[in-house]
Amino acid sequence: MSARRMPRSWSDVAGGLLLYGLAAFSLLVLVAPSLVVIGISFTEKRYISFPPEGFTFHWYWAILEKQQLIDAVGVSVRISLAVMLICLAIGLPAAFSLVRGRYRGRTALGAFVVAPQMMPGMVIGIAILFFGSFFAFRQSELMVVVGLSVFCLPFVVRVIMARLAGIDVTLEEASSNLGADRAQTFRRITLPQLLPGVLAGAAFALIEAFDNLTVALFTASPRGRPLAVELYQLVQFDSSPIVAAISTLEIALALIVVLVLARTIGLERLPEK
Amino acid sequence: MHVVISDVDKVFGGTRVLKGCTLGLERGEVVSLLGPSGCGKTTLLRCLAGFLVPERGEIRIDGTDVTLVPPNRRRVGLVFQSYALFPHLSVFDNVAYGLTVRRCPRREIAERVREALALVALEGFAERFPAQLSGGQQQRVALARAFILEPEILLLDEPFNALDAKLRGTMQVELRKLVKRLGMTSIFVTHDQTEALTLSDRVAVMRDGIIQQLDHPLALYDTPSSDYVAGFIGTTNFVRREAREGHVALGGGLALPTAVQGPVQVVLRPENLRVRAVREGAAAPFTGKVTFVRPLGATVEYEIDAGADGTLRVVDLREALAPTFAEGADVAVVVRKPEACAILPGEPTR
Ligand SMILES: Nc1ncnc2c1ncn2[C@@H]1O[C@H](COP(=O)(O)OP(=O)(O)OP(=O)(O)O)[C@@H](O)[C@H]1O
Ligand SMILES: [Mg+2]
Repeated sequence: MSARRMPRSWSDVAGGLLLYGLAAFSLLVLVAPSLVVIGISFTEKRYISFPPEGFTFHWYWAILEKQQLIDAVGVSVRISLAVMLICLAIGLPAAFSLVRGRYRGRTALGAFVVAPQMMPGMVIGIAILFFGSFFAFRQSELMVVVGLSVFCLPFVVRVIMARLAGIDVTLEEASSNLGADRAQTFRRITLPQLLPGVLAGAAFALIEAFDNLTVALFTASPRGRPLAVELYQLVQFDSSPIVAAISTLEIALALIVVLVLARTIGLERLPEK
Repeated sequence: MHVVISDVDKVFGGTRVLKGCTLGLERGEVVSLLGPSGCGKTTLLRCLAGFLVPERGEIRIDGTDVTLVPPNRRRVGLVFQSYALFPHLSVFDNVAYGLTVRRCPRREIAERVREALALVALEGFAERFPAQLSGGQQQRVALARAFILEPEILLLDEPFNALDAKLRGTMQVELRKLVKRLGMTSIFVTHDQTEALTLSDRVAVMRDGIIQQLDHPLALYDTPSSDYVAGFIGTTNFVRREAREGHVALGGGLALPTAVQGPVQVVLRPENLRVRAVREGAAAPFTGKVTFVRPLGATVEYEIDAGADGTLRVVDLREALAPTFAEGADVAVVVRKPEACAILPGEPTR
C-alpha cells in the first residue's frame, strides 16, 4: 500500500521550492571554494592554479618535509587544547552563575560577558598585544592562548547558557528529594543534560582556536607560530599547492569533528558563528 | 504528632502566599489538602520537602525542627505535580534513582524496581524513556519512584489528575493500602472532593494561604467552621438570620438554640430538608414555588424559590410510588433534624 499524504497547497509547494533553491545556492557558495582548494591540492603543477592538472599526492608528502609546518601544527594543537580547557573552566561556572544566579546586575553582567562576540578578532589581537606591553608581556604562545580564550569564551558561555536555561530546575529538586546530594545531582542529572552544550562549546573552541588567524597574527611570536599564521606567511612567499594540501587536511579534520558531534548530539545544537 | 507545620509564612516577591499556615499530622495519617487553584497547596508541600525556606514559622518532624534541613536529608518523598521525570533516564533508572544514589546492591535494586513497577501496573515499560509514555503512565512512574524509597512522609501533588476514571479508582485504592501498610504519613493535594473524602483520614481545606479547617470528612460536612468550608464540601443552602437571646428563629415557629448573638448564617444541607404540601394550620419555616424538579428515582431533587431566602435546594427521599411535586407547585419546606444545622456567626465571607 502506498503511503497516504496530506494534500499540499500551492503556497506550500512554492515555499518548498524556494527553500530548496536557497539551500542549493548557499551550498554552492560555501562548498565551491573548498572544492577548488581540494582540487588544487592534488595538482601536478608546481604552483597554485585552477583547474588542476593530473593527480598526485606529492604535496601531501611535501608537508612532512617542511619542519616549520610540523612544528606549527604542534603549536596549534597545544594552543587549541589550552583554549578549550580555559573556555570550559571559565565558561561552565560563568554560565551557571548567569542563568541560575539571583543577584543584581545579572543581566548586565551577561551582556558584558558575551560582548566580545561583536569584536573582530583583529581588534582583540591588537588590544591584547598593547595591553600586554604594559606588563612586559610579549608575543608568545601564552599570549595567543589568552587572546583566543577571550575571543572564544563568549560563544562557549552562550551555548552552555542556552542549554542550561532549557533544563527544568524541578528535575534537580526531584533528584535531591530522592536523596541525592548536590554533587550527585550535578553528575547524574544536570551534567548529562548539559553535555550537548558543553560538547558543542568545546568543539567550537577547539576548531576556532586551531585555525584562527586574526587574533594569532598579532599575538604569536615569530618563533613558534601557530599553523594559520605559518600558512599565511607561506602563501606570501611560496605559491606551491602545499598550502592547498594543508587546507584540505584541515577541512577533513573539521568535517570529522562536526560529523562526530552530529552523530552524538545532533547538528542543530551546534553554535552558529 | 509526626509532622507539625506551625504558623508558616512564605513570601514571593512581596506577595504573601502562605499566611500563617498551621497543620499537624499524626503518624501514619492520610490527610488530603483541598483548595482552589493558586491557594498555596504546592507551595506548602515545597516548604515541607525543603525546597523553600519559609520567612516565618517552623516545620517539625518527630519533634525536630527541620525548617533549615536540606531536602536530601529530610526523608520526605514528593510526587511532583509536573512529574519531574528525568528525561535522559529510562523508566527503570528513574524508579531506581533513589536506591542508586544510596548505593544499594544491584540485585536488590532490580528486584525492588520490578515490584514498584508492578504496583503501578507498568511491568514491561522498564526500558522506555519518559518521552515515550502517555501522561498517565508518566504519572505512575513518578509515583513508583517515590514509593520505592518507602519514605516516612509522602507528599503527593495531584497524583492522579492525568489518569482516567477507572485507573484512578484502582490507583486510589492501591495507594491507600500501600500507605497504610507502610505506615507512611501522607498529604495529598487534590481538586476532587470525592477523592479527598474517600482516600483520607482527615481533610484540610485551604484558602488563600491559610488552612481553614482540618477535620474528619464527615465532621467537615456536618460542622463546617466557616461558610467557605461549608460551601466547598458538598452542596449547601445558606440562610441569613439574626440570633437573639440564645435562639435563631428560622421561621414558622422553628427556633434553633445558639450561643452566638447577631447576624448568622444557618447551613441547611439539601438532604436535611423535606418538601411537603402547604397545609392550613401547619406552620413551616419556608414556603415557595417549585422551579425545578429532577426525579432521580430513589431521591427527588427540587429547587424552590423561597422568596427572601433565595433558592433552596432539597434532596427528598421518595417513598415508594409517591408522586412528586410539579414545577410551579406551591410547597412548604421543613427541616428534618433542626439540631443538625450548623450555625455560623457573622456575615457571609464567600
Ligand atoms: N516561585 C514563585 N514565584 C512567584 N510566585 C509564585 C511562585 N510559586 C508560586 N507562586 C504563586 O503562589 C501562589 C500559590 O501557588 P501554588 O503553586 O502553591 O498554588 P496551588 O494551590 O498549588 O495551585 P494549583 O492547584 O493550581 O496547583 C500562586 O499565586 C502562584 O502564582
Ligand atoms: Mg499546585
